[in-house]
Amino acid sequence: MEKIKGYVDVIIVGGGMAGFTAAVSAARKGCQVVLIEKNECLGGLATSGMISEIIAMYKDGQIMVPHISAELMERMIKIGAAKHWGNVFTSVDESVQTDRLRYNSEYLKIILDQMAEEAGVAVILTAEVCQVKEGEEDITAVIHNGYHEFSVCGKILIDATGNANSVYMANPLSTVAPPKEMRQAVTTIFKLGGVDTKVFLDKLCFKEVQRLIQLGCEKGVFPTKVLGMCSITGTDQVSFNCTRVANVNHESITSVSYGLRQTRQQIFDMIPFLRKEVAGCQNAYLSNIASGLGVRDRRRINAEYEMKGDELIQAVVYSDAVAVGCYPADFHIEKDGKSIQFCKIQRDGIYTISYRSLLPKETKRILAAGKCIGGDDIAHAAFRTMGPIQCIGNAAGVAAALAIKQDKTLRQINIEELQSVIRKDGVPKI
Amino acid sequence: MDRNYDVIVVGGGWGGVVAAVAAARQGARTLIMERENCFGGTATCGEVCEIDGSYTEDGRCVLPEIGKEIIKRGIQKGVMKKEGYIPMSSNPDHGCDRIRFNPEELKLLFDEIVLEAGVSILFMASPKQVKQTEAGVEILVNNPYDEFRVAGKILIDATGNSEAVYLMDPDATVKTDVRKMQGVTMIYRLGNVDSERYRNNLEPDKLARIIDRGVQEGALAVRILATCPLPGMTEISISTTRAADVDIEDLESYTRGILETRAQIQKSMPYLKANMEGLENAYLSSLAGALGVRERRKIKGMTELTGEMVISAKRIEEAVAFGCYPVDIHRATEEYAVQFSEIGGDGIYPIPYGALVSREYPNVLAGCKAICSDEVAFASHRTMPSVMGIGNAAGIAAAIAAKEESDLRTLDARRIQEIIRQEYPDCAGLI
Repeated sequence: MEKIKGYVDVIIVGGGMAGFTAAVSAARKGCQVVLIEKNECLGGLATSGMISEIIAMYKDGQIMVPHISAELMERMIKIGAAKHWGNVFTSVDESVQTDRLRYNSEYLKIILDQMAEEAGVAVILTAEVCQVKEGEEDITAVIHNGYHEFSVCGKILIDATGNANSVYMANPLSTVAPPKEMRQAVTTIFKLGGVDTKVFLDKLCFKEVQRLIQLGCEKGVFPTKVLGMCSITGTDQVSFNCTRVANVNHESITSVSYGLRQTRQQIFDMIPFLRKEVAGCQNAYLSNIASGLGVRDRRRINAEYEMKGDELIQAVVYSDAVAVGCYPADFHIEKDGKSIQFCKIQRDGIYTISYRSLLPKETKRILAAGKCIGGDDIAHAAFRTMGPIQCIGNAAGVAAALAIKQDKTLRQINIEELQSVIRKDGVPKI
Repeated sequence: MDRNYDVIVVGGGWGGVVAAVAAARQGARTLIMERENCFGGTATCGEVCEIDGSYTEDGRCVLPEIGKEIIKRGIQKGVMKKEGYIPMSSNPDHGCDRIRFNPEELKLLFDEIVLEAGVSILFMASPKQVKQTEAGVEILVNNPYDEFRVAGKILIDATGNSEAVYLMDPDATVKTDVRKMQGVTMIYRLGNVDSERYRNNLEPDKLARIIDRGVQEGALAVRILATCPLPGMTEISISTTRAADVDIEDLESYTRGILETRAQIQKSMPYLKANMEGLENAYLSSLAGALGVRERRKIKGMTELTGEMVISAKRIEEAVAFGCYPVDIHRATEEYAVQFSEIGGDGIYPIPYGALVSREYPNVLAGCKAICSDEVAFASHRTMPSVMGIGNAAGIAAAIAAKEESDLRTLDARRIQEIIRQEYPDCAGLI
């Protein structure tokens, strides 16, 4: 017999940056919130995946993320665990430049704990949801480990799993399987410690990165022409985003096992090269391998509205816009000798996210937040980054709180009212 | 991937890895499944960057060959280091031999040795169902999108908590009395440490003063500051946290343990930086991805290894693995956080084959710390060298039983002893 552990307003599944922001947002607006996370910490790819930088939080000096994210950023900066960098080029295209917030992923785990606790969010870690049941009056998530099983009951569930996991459990037909033909490469990020940061940064320029990429590819230690490097604030570490394995099906256990082994083999082969060739890394050592495999694809919800890549690239302002972003769409797929394909955002460079793209069809009490919202592959390639993800999380949290407060369904809430709250949360262009 | 194996090992910590490699080297078709994304368990994800008690104070070794091999490779690569016999931070009257390592590099070493042995690997996979069948054991593995079954003649449970056996039959396991639970820990690493100056802190009197003051000021949660500088890195690992009454089988309790210990880490950091030499520019490099849990659900075995057997280093007929680490019981609630008893005799105790074998089933072995033993014995054999030895013996026993399709419960331990005798020259008198 499963026991019901509690009744709450909002259940959030997935404690990555979208789920965290949704949880804090809904809790600060008066909801009782439970946040269920499969790992031992919050943050998802931002912590377990060790991405170590949030790109494109600003556009021409204007902040693109809600207050919660700005607050998080300020707290990290205050303890010396993050720093805002101006225009930084990408390793494959010098003309694509964005600002970056570079941070120490370990401190982020602690700050996320604190902010969730302060907001009164009940967090359950290392918990796997194995069933989602949508009823007339409520929605239930069944949680288990090998030894126990219990349920949490809520009025609304926000799926922030990154892979539409909960929506799939409620109704598989409300999701769209990840693309096979356009599958993007997977990455395991790692950090080298003991880097002479000053020497590393002095030497760092686009030309030098190109030299390293070319040499690394010639020597066969780089799988593709990508070398993302990020000097981590307050440390002598540099994170490396340069392992790549193509054709990994992230929904298959055997395929993921293969991807993990291959990326780790690449790390093994790369380290002597990096120590020899990258300035400041002569005495560096392997300090961390991410515990989460970086997967760029996702299963997505079959949404009330699926955003098109063109609409984002043309910076269309949806009438039900609830979030924004400014990072160009990028595909990690080999084509024409380039490893990443970019599509820049036109006009003012800021695209919007439609509220309807957060609503899975054939469901009543579920919102998606994060990269599994409804959008085609090009749209996804833009909004999947951490800035927009937090913005979408905030919107989901606000929408859930509004629906509960007004005793309305997620489809009945007044869009203008929703937008006015989100505007007050500091999100521009809404 | 093949779906049929001779031996399936569940859990890829030190015990599981050695068990899988040992079974494969004996010719068994072997699969290992690990729920995390890497091997190593507590040694990697748990950041326990130290192998304690591989050698007695006078230098006799209790490691099986595969363990020695991994350590040798680590030393050659400069990512492991023998530090010799060092006193305990919690009680300098006791000590043990220590081998320290870079846990990230250990992940790579484990990949290498397991792949070389030809073992099939599944990461991010834990069993959802375990069933006895006519041919052996069948395990269901799934995630929300993927589901398949694998079959094996022999199951080695190396989960550290008899999780696979529990799924098969809860009554084939015994849970530790919750009232007797030891404290849980979250270990972390600091980077950019001036290692030379840092060693000055480790002089026992000085360390005791740092601990005393830290506890007085409320910066340290318990009287423990176990710390080790790591080879080839400018990093140290530290254990200063304790959460009491955490039941790892209960998600809410486990969550509380994680949140409490993580908050303790943040609280202790400024104190350590201000009061320990060499930490002036240190930063938080890594928080363990798993709590260090000293308890386990154990199997109901054929023989129980008792504290009396361990402390008296009693000779037994069925010796298949060895240990020399003193019995240390970590209590989160008492004034002295750790209680010690040295190993008697000549300092090495044997572990009987029967403690690894399930009493209830013909094809189930424990290949890690969760063997059949009492809590005093457990407080010694839970450390890595004994766990390697247990894994090694389990792998060999599994390969023999799979090949001969025999009942593990009636397997003559001398068959295993014949194979392992050369691995343990310093324990020859005990085999």
